[in-house]
Amino acid sequence: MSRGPSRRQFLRTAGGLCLALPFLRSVARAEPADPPLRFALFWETGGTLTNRASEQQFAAMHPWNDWRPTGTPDAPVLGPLHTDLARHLDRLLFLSGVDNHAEPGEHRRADVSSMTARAAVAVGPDFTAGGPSLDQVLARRLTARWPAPFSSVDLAAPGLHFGEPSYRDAAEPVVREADPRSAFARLFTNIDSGLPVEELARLRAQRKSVLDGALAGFAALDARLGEADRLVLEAHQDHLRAIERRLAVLDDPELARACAPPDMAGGARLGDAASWTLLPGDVRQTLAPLHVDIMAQALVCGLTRVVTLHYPDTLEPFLPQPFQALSPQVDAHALGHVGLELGDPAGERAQAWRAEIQANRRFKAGLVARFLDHLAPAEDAAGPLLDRTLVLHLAEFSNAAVHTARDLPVMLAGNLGGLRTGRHLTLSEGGRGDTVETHADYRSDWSLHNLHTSILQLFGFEDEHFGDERCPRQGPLPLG
Amino acid sequence: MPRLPLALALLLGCAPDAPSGTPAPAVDAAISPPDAEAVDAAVAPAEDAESPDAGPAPDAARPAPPPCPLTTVPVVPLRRLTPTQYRHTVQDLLGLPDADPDLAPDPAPALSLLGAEKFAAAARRLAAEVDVSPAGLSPCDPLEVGEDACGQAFRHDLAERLFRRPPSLAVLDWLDAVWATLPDDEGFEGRARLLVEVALQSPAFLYHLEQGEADARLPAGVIRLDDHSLANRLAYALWDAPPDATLRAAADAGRLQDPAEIGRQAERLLADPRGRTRVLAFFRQWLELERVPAATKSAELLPDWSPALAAAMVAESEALIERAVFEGGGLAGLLLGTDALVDAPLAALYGVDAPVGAPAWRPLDATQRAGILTRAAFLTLKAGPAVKSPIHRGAFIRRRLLCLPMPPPPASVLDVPITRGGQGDDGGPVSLRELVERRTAGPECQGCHAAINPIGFTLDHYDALGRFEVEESGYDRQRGAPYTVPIDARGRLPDADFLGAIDGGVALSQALAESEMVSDCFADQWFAYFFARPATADEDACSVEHLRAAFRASGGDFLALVRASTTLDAFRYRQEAP
Repeated sequence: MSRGPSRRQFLRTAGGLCLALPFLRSVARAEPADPPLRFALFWETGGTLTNRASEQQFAAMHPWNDWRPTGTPDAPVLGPLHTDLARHLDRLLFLSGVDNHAEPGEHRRADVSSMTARAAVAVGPDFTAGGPSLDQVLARRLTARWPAPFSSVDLAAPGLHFGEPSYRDAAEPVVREADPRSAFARLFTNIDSGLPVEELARLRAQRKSVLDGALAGFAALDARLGEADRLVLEAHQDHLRAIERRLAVLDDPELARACAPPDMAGGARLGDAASWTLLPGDVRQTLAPLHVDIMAQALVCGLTRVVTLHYPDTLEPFLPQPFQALSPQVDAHALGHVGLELGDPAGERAQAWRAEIQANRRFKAGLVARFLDHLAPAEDAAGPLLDRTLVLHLAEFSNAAVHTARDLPVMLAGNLGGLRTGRHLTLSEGGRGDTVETHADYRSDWSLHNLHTSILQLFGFEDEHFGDERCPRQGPLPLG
Repeated sequence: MPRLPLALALLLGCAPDAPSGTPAPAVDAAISPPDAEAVDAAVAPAEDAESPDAGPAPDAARPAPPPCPLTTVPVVPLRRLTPTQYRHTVQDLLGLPDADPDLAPDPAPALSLLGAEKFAAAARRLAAEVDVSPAGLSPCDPLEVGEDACGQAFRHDLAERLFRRPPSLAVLDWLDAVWATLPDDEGFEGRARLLVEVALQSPAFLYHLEQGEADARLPAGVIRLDDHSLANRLAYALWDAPPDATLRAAADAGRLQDPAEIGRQAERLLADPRGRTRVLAFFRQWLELERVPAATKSAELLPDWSPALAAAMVAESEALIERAVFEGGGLAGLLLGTDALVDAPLAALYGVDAPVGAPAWRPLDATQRAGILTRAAFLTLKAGPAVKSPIHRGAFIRRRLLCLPMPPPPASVLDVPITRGGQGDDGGPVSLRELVERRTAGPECQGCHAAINPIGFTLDHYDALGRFEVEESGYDRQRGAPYTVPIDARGRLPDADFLGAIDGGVALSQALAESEMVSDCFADQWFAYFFARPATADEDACSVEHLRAAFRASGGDFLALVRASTTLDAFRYRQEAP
């Protein structure tokens, strides 16, 4: 079932939203059960630290499931990956037992299908999406209801990208920004510039003249173009018009009073983007936190309703002996697969690996904590931002070592449309122990299809199903 | 070397996904892909098109293909400047040699909103930096000739410069109208800068807008590209940059309708360092050399790996490619050359005398090494952090040297890499080959791996850094001791025009060097690179066949391949878009 518009319709919608201040005041004060207005996606490559295995031969690989909270469903005790999130526990909902039934495994298929809940579509030897991803569907719908200058803000850390999770429509991947300095310039440059109103007006008139002039250039073309080419140029013109409409919003003094640009002091340490993969530490220490701050402040400033971060397998210098390479970086993908050859779980090698994987995944979960920290004190006319924001933290696999696309690490945070948080729900049957035998009992009929349907419903949309038909059952997850 | 006509191979049933005459180019010129998967994405899987050349005859020279009917030129989709082309274009045309604008990669045909925002920001920045005085872009001094007259000259000059062709009246009218809207209080310089900003965001600058004329002698719908379209095609194809003054002058004089003049200009561009860089970039993409420094290797098992060694590997492969392309080595030199440009660490890896000081050429052991596929860069890249990867090596050769279609793996595939040698049922060590065979033994795997593994196994004498090893060695964690197992490097080239057993990398390279499929595959991939689009199955088939024939006739001379691409109908004509 496809609810997405055609490519052309979308291009018009994404670029052509009409904006008007005061959009920050355009919503009523929130009630506890009101649906969220904003969506944040933290999507990471490579799974997490669980022992869930899809092949019996790997089940004995290691015994650890450090992602799954212990304790009881209503009083979960967070594991070592989520220590930074402990202060937000009452805002979190952990879900165990959600599988990716659209694609059972393999990096590229899993990546492409994770947020679309649709089987990947082969294009030559590669894959693309068969439909829009949840985040972009939400971007379209939320921005249509509550206009914002940017339909979504989509960032990505550099690293090993096996596949893009976000798609505007079938085969239309989101184009992400990796350099936070560029993202900052695009989003915040005009806010709080400190320039006098008259000067701002003059600059705005300049920009408008330029964009009007460029738009007029489309009518002056001599080349004879076919229909497909004309559509390409029309989409381009739509984007220019969208940029023009933002001019009045982005340097409006009211916006500057409502928010401040994020602190980008750390950006000075980034150096040339071309050198990032060879400069260990950039991603982990500087770049990703800047991404998170930009995402959070973009919501605080009302610049968008949807923010997404694709955090790939990064190149990081975090491996101690006996894993450390002489080369300046070791990718986290290779680290994950070291889990296939740990030997004795109690041995030094296995313990060292566990500590490293924990540190890596804890860092990623810490980004979500940083985001929640940033958002928690913020308010707008509708009340505390976190009360009207839903956060999804997801990876395409559960077990990084063996590419298991079941029992995925699903964490929701923020406002779940009145749904009670501070819980850990297990939706699967069996397989709750840590031994080979108990893993064989694992069964789940719940898929990302159902998770994404639930999220749409939490936002107040009436979708009965999201994604394709490759799921055991339709409808939302039983989250009540 | 025993070779088998492809048609016969098909009859014998050994080509489950046999190649057709349809080109399946693997390298996309327009984009510099960040990784191998991006390059592979440009592979257009061969359809079941009727092949005009179902297989090479082994012993008879094929006649030259007949001339192509002009009805077969394709519609060419509108393309934007790639980020590299944008950079080169503003560097050359705005006189800003250090300009390096921040642009979105944006590979889709339709520009993204982010891409438009980046173009806007880049235009603003470049317009602020450019010199619009008479010493720079302006052809006149407004203080001397007056702002109106100078403004008019500036607009005409700017349009011709940035839009890379003489401006039409419509374009001049548009720029006149824009100029009139720019506030007077900005002054001449301010208005000039704003006009530059407008021009840099206009489609005439950002897109390859080709023009031409229909002709009663041409089939309906076919247009002959005009001189400036040809100049732009030639310059962006061979330099990834706009036409220089000489090429523009040839276009202004209408000389490019003469194929001989196109040939002369192509020779001139190729002789320029930028032409050399552009051609070499094709091979860098083809071999994925940019990915070598980022390869991850285990320090436990491969302590020799270092950034310096990676750089030396890349430099050595590039040197071999340069010899093959520019010094007459040709395809045979690329696939069979035994000399290597080595520094001391790389010399140690190859087991040859280390040079003192700067890297130097050394002959390698010809029983161990032959050509680019037996060199450290390729072998290191197509290997895991600890062990060689027969699967990746075999898949690369199948895709990039034989242009054989490679469907994606089935959904049920277990894509967990094989990370090391392992233990057999008896607890003893087994070879990586045996592990690969076990992993891919299932019927859902064999559909492809039966055609991949036998190629990759022939390179099993080279470890994860490309070192030649007589026996496979590893470390048996279970026993806590090193182990060795014999290497079986026997294999074959399924679906190719070579039938027979191959044992080892040298024999593999020799078989590939004799293969007409390999020669044709290079021609197909060059076509895609040169035209910045994959060949179409129907309309381009004749042009591609001519390109293949030219490359074969030259004996695998890469520069002959480049020259031949400028003589194709697909270069000078296009179908009008519906």
